[in-house]
Amino acid sequence: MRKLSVFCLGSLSFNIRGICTRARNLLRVVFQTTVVLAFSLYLDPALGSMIIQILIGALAGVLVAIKILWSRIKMWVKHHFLTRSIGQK
Amino acid sequence: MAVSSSFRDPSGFLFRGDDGILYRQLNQSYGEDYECLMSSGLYDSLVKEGSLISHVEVDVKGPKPEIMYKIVRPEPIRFISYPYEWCFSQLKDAALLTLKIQKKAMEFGMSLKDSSAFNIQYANGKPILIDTLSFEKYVEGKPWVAYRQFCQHFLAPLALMSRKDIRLNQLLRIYIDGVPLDLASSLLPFGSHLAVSLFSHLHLHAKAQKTYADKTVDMSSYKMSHLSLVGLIESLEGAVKKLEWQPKGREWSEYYKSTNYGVASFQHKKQIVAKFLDHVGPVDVWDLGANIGVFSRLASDRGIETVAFDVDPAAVEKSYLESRRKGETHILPLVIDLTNPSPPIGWENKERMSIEERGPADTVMALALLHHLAIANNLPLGRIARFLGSICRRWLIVEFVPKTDSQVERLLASREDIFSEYTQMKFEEEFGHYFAIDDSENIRDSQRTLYLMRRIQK
Repeated sequence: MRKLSVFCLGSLSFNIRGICTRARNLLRVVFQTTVVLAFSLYLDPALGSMIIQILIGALAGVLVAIKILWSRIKMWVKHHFLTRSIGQK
Repeated sequence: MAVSSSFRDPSGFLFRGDDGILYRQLNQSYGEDYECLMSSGLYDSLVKEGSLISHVEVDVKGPKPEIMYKIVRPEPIRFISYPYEWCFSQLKDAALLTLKIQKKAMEFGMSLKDSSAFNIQYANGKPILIDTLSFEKYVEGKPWVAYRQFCQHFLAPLALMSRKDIRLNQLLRIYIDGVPLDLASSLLPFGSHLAVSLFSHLHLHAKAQKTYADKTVDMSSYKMSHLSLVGLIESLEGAVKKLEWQPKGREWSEYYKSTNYGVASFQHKKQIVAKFLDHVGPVDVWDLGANIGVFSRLASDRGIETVAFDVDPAAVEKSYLESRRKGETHILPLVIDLTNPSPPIGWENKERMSIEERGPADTVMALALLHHLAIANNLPLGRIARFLGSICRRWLIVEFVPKTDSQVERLLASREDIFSEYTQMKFEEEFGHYFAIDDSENIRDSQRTLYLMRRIQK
């Protein structure tokens, strides 16, 4: 449980730092002229869609990490106190 | 012969064999992804839960053997429909299915490479993905390539239908790759900016598209973690689920409360229609002007594949929600304006079929419809008969409503009666060019007559 909490907290703080770094860098790359698209596509995903998706995804990823962490905490508390109260009985 | 709408995806295409059966050629470029789809367990899982169409691999010669990997025969869809013909909940359920499939695909190490609304069809009363070529191996770090398409094909039209006007899904007829986000953003009311999900996926997304439209960027260092992608999909799911539309106060969905059928007349009409259906034993039925599907269900409850068309989105919504609630598998309600039905559209006007191209139906029902076409829409009886003849293979069940009926009197109340030719005699004469009257019966306690007509060739 402790390792999992550390992992989720670590992942959460990584994502927040990631969002800030990415936002800053995205503003810089507007002035770049080289094109390297790393993906092969039959659909045109449009550059704006890619960029906004990365930003929204980063924020949404934080929320998912919080949700996972919270549900793990609830499970641990439930299990811990339930086990204890059964043990006492 | 290649299917005219199947040409954009380099992974493969649909074609009809000499036997008339629909096949799909998988090209060599898709071989690896296909094997991953089949061996990972994703295909079995999706087919088992009814989310993906099943197929069998066959030993048939395709039109392009030089690039062929495999040929498969997909399970046929009985009636092809399009997103601009769906009611609100049908489009919403199709959107949620797409996202559900994407989440499931990621669990198996795959991802959808497109999220077109035209990849979803309705079969057995539920949405199903028909494009087996939609899957590719998931590469960690790669953003979802189908995100833009999902927003344009699903989220934008749903938001417009929910927040602005239910009829705005018709924009999908004009814009074959979904509603442009700048257009959706400009049409949506200001209040949509206050909803975080609509603000980010539609308004902000539209601005980003406009900002970066003519720019080039090195995206190689920008990755999207698995968790971020999961978050994005869940965010889209939440956005779609929150969109609602309540059909209330519409003149057609309240129709049965305000008709001139007494209880006895209504029951008698149902008995006559049921008798006609039992007599002809149709393979399939198209019910035109079906409203909420009361008479359509006389056919579908008999296990007859029935498509129930109506012009009112509220009536179709009610009919679809009922079919979903009851788990009905033989009825498909659709929104169609018969005076302006779905035309053939897309490249060379051949990518999406017109209504006539998807027919003819074995049996057509046109109940309490003729007077609306002839009186309210000024259509001559001869032209109506010709149209019904073009979409009907064997039988027509049609109701003639005379001018003395209170519904017709209501239609004529605010206009000059220029319909001297709208008589029962003229009706029988004009329809006689395309049909022979097999049976007819007056509806008890009303002035209406039901006809069973057999399609003839003259």
